[in-house]
Amino acid sequence: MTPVISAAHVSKWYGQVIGLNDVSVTVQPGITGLLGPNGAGKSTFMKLVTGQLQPDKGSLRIFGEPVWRNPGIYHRIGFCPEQDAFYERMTGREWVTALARLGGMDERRARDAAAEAIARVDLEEVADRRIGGYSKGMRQRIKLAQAIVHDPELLILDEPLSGMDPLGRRRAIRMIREWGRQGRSILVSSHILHEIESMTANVLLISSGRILAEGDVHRIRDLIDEHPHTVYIRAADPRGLGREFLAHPGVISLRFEPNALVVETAAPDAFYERLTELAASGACGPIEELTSPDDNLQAVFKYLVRS
Amino acid sequence: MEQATPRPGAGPAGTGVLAASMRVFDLSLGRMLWSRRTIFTALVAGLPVVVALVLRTLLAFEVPVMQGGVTGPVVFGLMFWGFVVRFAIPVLAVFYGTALIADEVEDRTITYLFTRPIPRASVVLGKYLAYLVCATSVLLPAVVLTWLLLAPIDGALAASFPDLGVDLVIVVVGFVAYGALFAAVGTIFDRPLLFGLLFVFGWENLALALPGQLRRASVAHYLQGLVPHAMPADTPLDVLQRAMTGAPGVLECALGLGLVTVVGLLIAARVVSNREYVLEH
Amino acid sequence: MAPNTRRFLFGSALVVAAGLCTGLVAYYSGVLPSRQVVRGELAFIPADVAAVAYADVRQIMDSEFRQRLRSALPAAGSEKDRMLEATGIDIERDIDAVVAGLQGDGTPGGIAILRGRFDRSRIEAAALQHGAVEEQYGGYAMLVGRPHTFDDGTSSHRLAPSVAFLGDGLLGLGDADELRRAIDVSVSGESLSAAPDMMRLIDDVSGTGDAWFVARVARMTRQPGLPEQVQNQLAGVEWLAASANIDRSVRGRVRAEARDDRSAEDLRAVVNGAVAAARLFAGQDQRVTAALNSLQASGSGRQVELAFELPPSLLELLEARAAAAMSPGPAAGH
Repeated sequence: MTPVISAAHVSKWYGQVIGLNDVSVTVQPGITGLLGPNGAGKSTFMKLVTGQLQPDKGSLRIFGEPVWRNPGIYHRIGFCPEQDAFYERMTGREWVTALARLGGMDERRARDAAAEAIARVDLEEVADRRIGGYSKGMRQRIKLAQAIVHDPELLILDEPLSGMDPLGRRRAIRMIREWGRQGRSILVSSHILHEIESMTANVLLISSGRILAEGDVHRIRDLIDEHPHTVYIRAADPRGLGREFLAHPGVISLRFEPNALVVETAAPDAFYERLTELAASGACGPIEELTSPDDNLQAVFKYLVRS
Repeated sequence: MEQATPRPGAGPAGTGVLAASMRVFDLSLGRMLWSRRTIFTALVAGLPVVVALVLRTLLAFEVPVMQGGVTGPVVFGLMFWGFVVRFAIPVLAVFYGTALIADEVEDRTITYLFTRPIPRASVVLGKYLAYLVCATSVLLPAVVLTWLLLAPIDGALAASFPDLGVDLVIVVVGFVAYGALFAAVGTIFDRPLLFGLLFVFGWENLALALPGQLRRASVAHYLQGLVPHAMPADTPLDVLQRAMTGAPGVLECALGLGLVTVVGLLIAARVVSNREYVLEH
Repeated sequence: MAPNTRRFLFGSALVVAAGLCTGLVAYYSGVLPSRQVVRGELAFIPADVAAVAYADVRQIMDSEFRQRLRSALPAAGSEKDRMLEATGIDIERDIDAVVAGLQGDGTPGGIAILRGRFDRSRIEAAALQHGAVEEQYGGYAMLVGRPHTFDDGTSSHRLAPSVAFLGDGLLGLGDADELRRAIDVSVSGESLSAAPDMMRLIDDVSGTGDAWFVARVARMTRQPGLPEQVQNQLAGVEWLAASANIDRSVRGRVRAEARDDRSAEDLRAVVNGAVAAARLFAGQDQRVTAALNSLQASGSGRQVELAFELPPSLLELLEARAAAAMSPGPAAGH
């Protein structure tokens, strides 16, 4: 079977700075997580895979074809970029429809496909509102909608859960797993192991522009659990959340920032589970944003590099 | 080797440049039209209309503002040459043309366009077409309104109507040529706006003022060759200078402007097709 | 395309279309009242004339410029009286407009078509008094004057000054043969109205002023007696069109169309040089300087244009000079 992605000795430099260093890897069909701390080379790898950058060395193929300057390949690829950038004045429906039209669909087919994609990311209710008025979670989901609107074989998702609230995050994870079950190949990047783990067991570990390991996530997981995990929660009632987590097992420390709570936990699974329950019940008001600095993952990677 | 095949509902692989350009045009037009840049365009385009309105108001109150043989058509001609051709068209083309790709890069939305099954050249062409529609849809009505207000002052609409037709063509042709030039500038240089303004206000003025063939390296030389209006000759020196220089023929103007357009667009398309855009986070 | 974008583009197109339609309507229809009328007169001008001229006599006679000119040059009044005596036509009272067709290639003659209010019996009386005879030609009444021989220095021509009543308010003046030909072309359709090259320029200048003139220069330069230097300067010029607006001042535009770009460049150089020279040597009189400063030379391609204005102040100069000429000289000393 032709691998979905095959990279052979791929290197990419930004002037004197190396972005990717002699990477050779094959990605098979299914969901694959690309895990690494910020600055590890995840985005460079994603950009190379999506043909936005050209390898300085080596070759990179998608479905056996080169991707740089091969626009035809984008019929088979859907890409959800990391950046929070949109045509803010357009409505979600207009934007997804317009991008579907760029894929070669006629107006009617593009409208139908956009409606279908928007429904799949649960945004029908706000589809006719301007993107500029969307919450962070909605913006992430509309990005996912444009990535799937042309029903691609390979989905490349760069930090798709970044900034989503717990419910949105859970919904997005379920969606990605569902797409994987439907036979799509998905490459999803994140610097949060917990996120990747909830989608797939198959990971590529990347650090300092190199693929350190590929395979089962559980081994990494064991290492991660030995390091505290930091979570930044922007919410309407951070003090209420603080009270909830004060006595929660595994929580090491709590810190308040303007409209936000920063939690350090040694048991991220239990922590995220409880946070999702609180978000669903609304006991502490709406939770607007959830991010996780990658300090803990950095520590693990340092350990891996050393070992 | 497995070939890229379109999924159901998708268009054929390798959508043609023109068809893809029209889709990019469709996507870009509204965004371009409702941007702050269009407010600036409207202000620039509205200036001659305001001047014409003020003139008409003063004349309605019998204020003697049109003296010394100056008629409405003459004022319109002066405004068209001095303001529209020498200022509005190049400046608007600089602002729009240099931003065709730069805006998408700055807003980090270029990714959405470059990860679609369309040639990158079509992104340039589609956005260029959107700029043309956007700029002309603002400036053309302003020129027509100015003409309607000014031409009847000691003149006749009928008499100056053929010149208006030529003027409107010049506006479109000017935007076409300058836009293509600055589209290329926008893709090549890191500070295209500065370079574009230097070209318009520095190089073009210098090239036109100097004797010799330097003026052929300016767009204004060919565009002004098409302008049908009389220009004021205030001093004998102006007249003598005009006698020494010569206006290019229509064919030369068309060839010059056509060359600028084709070369500009080809360069822009080539640069964008080969360039890697690293977006800052 | 979003609805508001579509609405904006539609509005923009509407403004442009409205402007163009207004211009087109003005161009092809009655916004130029004189041109509509002129078409009637042009039907009597043969297609092969070398030049055609038009004057809105009523407008010119009523203009402030004309009033001042009359006081500055009182001798002009005698011309009016002579016309009245010869034809029974009072040019200040009877004539609204004149269109004249000129042969200009050495053949004397040409005709003038006058539109106005004419006292036929008075004209007939005046003509018959001068020995004219009545004639019917092509359904029109003519008064054919006694022929006389005209010598232009190179050859002699026989002319019979005549008047033709060409319909309601239209009067033809000219040589009898020319008038008969005018009646013929109005019937056959071989008139100037059917000459697209000439009509193109007439359409351009008509409506831009109270008087205009369009000429085929090549034919005009065949005129015997035209200085060779002038003939050489005009050799490259194909068409000449001029128009003037006469009110308080006289504003005008002369447009030449050269055979090719090269000839146009030469002509532009000549015109610009002449204008510059005139300015340089204009002297100190501000009234002359003002008139010279109004000269605007321009044009591109095969076109050469010169716009001018004769301001009222120039008439003051003429008045002063006329007064100086008419005043008795200083008394001779003893």
